[in-house]
Amino acid sequence: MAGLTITEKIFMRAAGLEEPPVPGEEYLLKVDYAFGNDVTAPLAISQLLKHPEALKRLGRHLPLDRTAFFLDHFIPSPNLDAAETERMMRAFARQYGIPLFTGATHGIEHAYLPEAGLVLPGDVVAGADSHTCTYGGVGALSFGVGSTDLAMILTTGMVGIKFPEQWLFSLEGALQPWVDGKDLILYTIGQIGVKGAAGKTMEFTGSAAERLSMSCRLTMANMAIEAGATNGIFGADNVTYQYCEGRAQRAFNPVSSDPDAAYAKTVSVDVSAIEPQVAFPFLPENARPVSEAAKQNIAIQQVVIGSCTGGRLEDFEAAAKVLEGRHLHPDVRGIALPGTATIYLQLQDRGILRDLVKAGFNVSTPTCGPCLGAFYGLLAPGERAVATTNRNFNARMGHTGSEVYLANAAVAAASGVLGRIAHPKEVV
Amino acid sequence: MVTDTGTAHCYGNNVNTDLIVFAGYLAITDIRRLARHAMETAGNADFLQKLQSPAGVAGDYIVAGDDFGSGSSREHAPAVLLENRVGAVIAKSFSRIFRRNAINVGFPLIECPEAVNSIKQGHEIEVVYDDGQRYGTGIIHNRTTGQSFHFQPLKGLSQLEKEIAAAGGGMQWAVKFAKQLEQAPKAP
Repeated sequence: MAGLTITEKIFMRAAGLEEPPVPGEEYLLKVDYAFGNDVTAPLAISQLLKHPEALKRLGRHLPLDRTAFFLDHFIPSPNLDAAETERMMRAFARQYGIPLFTGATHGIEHAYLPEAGLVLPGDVVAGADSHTCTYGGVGALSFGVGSTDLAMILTTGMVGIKFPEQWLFSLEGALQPWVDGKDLILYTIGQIGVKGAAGKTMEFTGSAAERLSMSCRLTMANMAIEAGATNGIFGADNVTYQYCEGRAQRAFNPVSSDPDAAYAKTVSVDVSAIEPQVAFPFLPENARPVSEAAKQNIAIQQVVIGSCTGGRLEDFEAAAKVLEGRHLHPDVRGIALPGTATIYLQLQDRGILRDLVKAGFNVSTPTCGPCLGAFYGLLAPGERAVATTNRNFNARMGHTGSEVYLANAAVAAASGVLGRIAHPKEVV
Repeated sequence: MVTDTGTAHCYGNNVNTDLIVFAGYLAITDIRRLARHAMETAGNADFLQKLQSPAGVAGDYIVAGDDFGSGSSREHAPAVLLENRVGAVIAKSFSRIFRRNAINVGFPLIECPEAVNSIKQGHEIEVVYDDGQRYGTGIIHNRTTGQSFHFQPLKGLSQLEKEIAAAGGGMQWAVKFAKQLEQAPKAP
């Protein structure tokens, strides 16, 4: 038998298979961790309340300490609807013993769960949020599901998922200055398109992937969904073990792909040829080199540095290198959204919080709000933002016709300083 | 045999869930209230005008291109279409999470690229489902042009998805499945 991929190995364990799974076939997997947030959990709660036979099974097939509700999308509540949702979720979580995490106290779900060692290498993680694929960064098989799916998982402990065709992205070469995981994934989505990996796994390997920090890996896996992939994943290696050391809340079974594992497709990427990328409206696949974007003199009115995609310490460190006492252009609003409470404190300890405030940023406690246009930092008609977030769909961050350009944190900071899309080297 | 007739409302490719339900409204958990904002940011004046009229868009069809429902996992997307009694979305293809959400809540989806290429805004459409089963085979009649299109079961419709549809929804399936788990003899 040929070797197995990491995704095949996790599937086989969780589905109890003796033979490798067949692409396109659906399997029921035993779930290791499941969660929802203040957008998706209310519909799951409503389903559970409508089905008492499901409700009474909470904790029976999936232990409650392997579940969570997050208050992170509409937090702190910007309106009475959100306030009512929070009250209802807190009451339900308290009554049924589901752990509840909040933006300011813990963080944004996809930033907090790996940081807190609650999702681990080798796990099957199903979250009612499309960016659940983030945990492929730590070598977990993780993917987004819907609200009823979440209620079904809480009832049965199992999730149905079609086995994705295995695709390998082999990254070789040295990164150019100012390039990080965000650029590698935007470039890749630009190559294959927003549907390019539909029904596939995007597994990342190669010497350049091995050198990537956990921060970069999480950012890349986070955006696998933007190419339509079922999951994005990195095999567990020394970077993974070091990251999990002291964090892991339970024992785990790290896996990685066998050297002779078979893939339906292998894509070789020379990362040394990639410069910082900017994804133009209104799809993440519209990625172009920043030097090309900078030539177009695109004036911007907002920069957003943060979110589950680009709100880790490394992102803010990159932004701080560009800011260095500089102020945002007078026409530009700045919004900084650290991913977790721990990152917020790290920004303070390293003096980056001071740099951000001196530069004129609104520094918020962790929240998803601006990233999805849920609340604050909304764009007026005709306005443009450069954001380290994950989606640049029409109306994503405000009015239809406003525009979001996706980039890494250094490009966002440089663009904020100059008031137009810019390469960091134009500032530093 | 199940037959439904209604007006077609046409959209392009990549109608993502941000366009189906704008995120700013997602704090509203009452689907009846949320349903009034369906497809608001996706445009199409005709759909929005009918949505606000007393009869609503009940029985009408959304016709769209590739990857309908991409982006966020929000189940609000099929839920508001179901609440507005949209007959079905007829598209070239559906995004993974949206597709499963729709099956879990019992909202009809039809994949039929030929029909999508031919149907224009305002055409009167009749859909006949074979055996009365959603997600299976059937025929779309375009009453405006007289053309007909056979459609196949949703691409990759799995045994589990058939079971969910037959059980009447995801929750009904889950309760049944959990009971089976509990009755199964424990492994030694």
